[in-house]
Amino acid sequence: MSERDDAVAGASGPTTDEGRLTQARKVIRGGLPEQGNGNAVYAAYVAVIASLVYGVPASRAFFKFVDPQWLSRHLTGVQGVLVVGGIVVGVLLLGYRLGSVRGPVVPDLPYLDHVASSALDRAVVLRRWWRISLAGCLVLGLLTGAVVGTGMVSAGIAPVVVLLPTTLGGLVVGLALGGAWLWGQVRSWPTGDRGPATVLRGRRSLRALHHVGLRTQSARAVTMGGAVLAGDLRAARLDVAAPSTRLRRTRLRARGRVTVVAERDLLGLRRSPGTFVVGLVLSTAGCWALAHSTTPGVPNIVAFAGVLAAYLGYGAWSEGMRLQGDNAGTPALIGLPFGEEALAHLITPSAMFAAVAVVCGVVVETTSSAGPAAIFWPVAMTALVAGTHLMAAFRGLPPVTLFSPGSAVISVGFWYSRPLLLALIGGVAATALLTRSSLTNAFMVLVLASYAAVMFGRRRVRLLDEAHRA
Amino acid sequence: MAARGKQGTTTPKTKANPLVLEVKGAGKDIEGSVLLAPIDLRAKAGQCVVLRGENGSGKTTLLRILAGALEPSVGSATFNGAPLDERDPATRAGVASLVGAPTAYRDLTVIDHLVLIDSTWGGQISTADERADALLETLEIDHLSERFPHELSSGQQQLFHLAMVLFRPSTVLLLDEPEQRLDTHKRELLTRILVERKAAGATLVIACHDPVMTEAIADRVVDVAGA
Repeated sequence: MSERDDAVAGASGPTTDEGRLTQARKVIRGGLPEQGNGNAVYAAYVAVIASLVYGVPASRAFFKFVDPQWLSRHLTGVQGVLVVGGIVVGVLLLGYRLGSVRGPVVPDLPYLDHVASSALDRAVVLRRWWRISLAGCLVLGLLTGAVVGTGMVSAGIAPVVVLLPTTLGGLVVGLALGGAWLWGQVRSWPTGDRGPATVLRGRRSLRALHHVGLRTQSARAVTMGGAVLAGDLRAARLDVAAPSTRLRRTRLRARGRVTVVAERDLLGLRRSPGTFVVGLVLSTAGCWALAHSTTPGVPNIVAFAGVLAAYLGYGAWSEGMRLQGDNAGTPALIGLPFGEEALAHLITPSAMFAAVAVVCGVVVETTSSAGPAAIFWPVAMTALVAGTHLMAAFRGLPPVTLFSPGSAVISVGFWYSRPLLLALIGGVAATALLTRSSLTNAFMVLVLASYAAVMFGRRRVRLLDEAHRA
Repeated sequence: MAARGKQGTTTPKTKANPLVLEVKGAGKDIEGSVLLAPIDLRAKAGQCVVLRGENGSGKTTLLRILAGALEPSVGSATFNGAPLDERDPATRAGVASLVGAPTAYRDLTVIDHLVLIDSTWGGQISTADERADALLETLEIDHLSERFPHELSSGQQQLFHLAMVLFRPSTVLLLDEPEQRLDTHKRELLTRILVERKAAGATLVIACHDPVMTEAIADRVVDVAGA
């Protein structure tokens, strides 16, 4: 604020939006100094330390673990551009989607109701949050690029000069991520200035943000924060999920007792095309990687990425199963016993996943040097991902919360990741045996892991069903 | 607890009908906190028992015990002579309850829910749509059939929940304050439906705070006293 502004403010109050906002923030803080910038700098400081302590060694281990020759064969030329481009596009799409749930501009509710709803220019009122978020994206991109470059250099697979393109590239991706994140928030409101002209144009984007949309995101951020602190990711998931409004005139057709549950899940996916597509892309990528991983010489990281993508893809198609788990303990209206209903919810995602696995396997088998194992191996993974998702959907609440004494964060994290860990360990170990040992050994490990997942999942279903009877 | 017969409403048909639900000294406490003081209750086929009592007296707990969703700490609760347990297929097949918000899928419409419920109970596939439409028409919410649960008002949600419970086959109907959030006309409508269910031989146990509805449907009124 200029001296003239101060003089005017002293006489009759500030006249500019900046001046009025400064005065309002002083009142809100009760005379205490501004802490937000200090917190942001501290967060960046912690991120730098964490990158050096954990990021660089992990990056180095990754590049050491993966066969450098295989990596250079697949990450150079057109294929490399496609892989890196795919990752960048995926990150930007994720940022865009995140913006519709929790954008970069989410002030607290009292500020929104008492300051942002005033006649002040919204670009002025909200720019503080946007600047902090954008700075966070830039720091994140910069550090990621630097960590990847440092890992390549320390692993001895690239010269020091590679640090320059990776760091600058990370910075550019960070900037694009910030833009996509804000655009996602702007586009989450159905009307107003929301076209491509708002991308990375801060003032224009901030003015396009609607008060009701900001309020919704702010309230959701509080709910999700509480859910995460309490270790209740289910509450956070339900709060994030967009309500269905599509295909309301398409009726669920009456079927047999079990078939109708599978039909229900299929209709649910038809009403959530975004979820269907995400599941299809991830399942295809996962099955494609799993089919390739059956070829001798392909590093285990491909099997790891394949199982991870397959698990996430199957999970995107398992909403019906999760909804049943969410509703455990409510009076039964469905005619099937709880356990049978849970198994019925496996039909649709398993059938879709198996179909994708067959198609991917056939394509890989006919277009590469992979043998017949490329066809049946992704299909054989179906039971493992199905069992682990049964575990995940009916796991209930963790026995400890983040407020519990001791290493609660690690305990809650481990408790939630058990299904994924079982899928990764079982799937990658079996695939490694497939190319390094024998088909029998690989199949035995996969069957054992799948059996363990399904049995543990069924036990979770029974425990959750009986939990409310105490 | 005090139980009394309602004047002039106990029909000879009710007396002749078999005993369906029986609660003998059933009570519930959790770690010393008494949710329901020991209580007796008997309900026959074609009979309606209305539970009354102030908030926290244990009406909902008693209904949960009758639904087989909660085990009594003391005493017993039986359905056709067998212990009530919702894990028992016989209990599940016979007892329908609306005690708290029931399961609803956020990606299914109102009519989809009815078709799903009917199919899982083995309803006739060829007539499922017609029967579902007819029930919604009876409840005067047929215009809401293609709405998703999150698009319903509070009172419409209650009617949707009632529709789901009424649509599944059952011989016993347990309802916890079904008149909640309903306007006067809808309460009258619900009363008529419940009277028809009773006349068809169903056993009704209903927690109700509406004196008009209670007068119309109750054969017996049980006052549930708090601990």
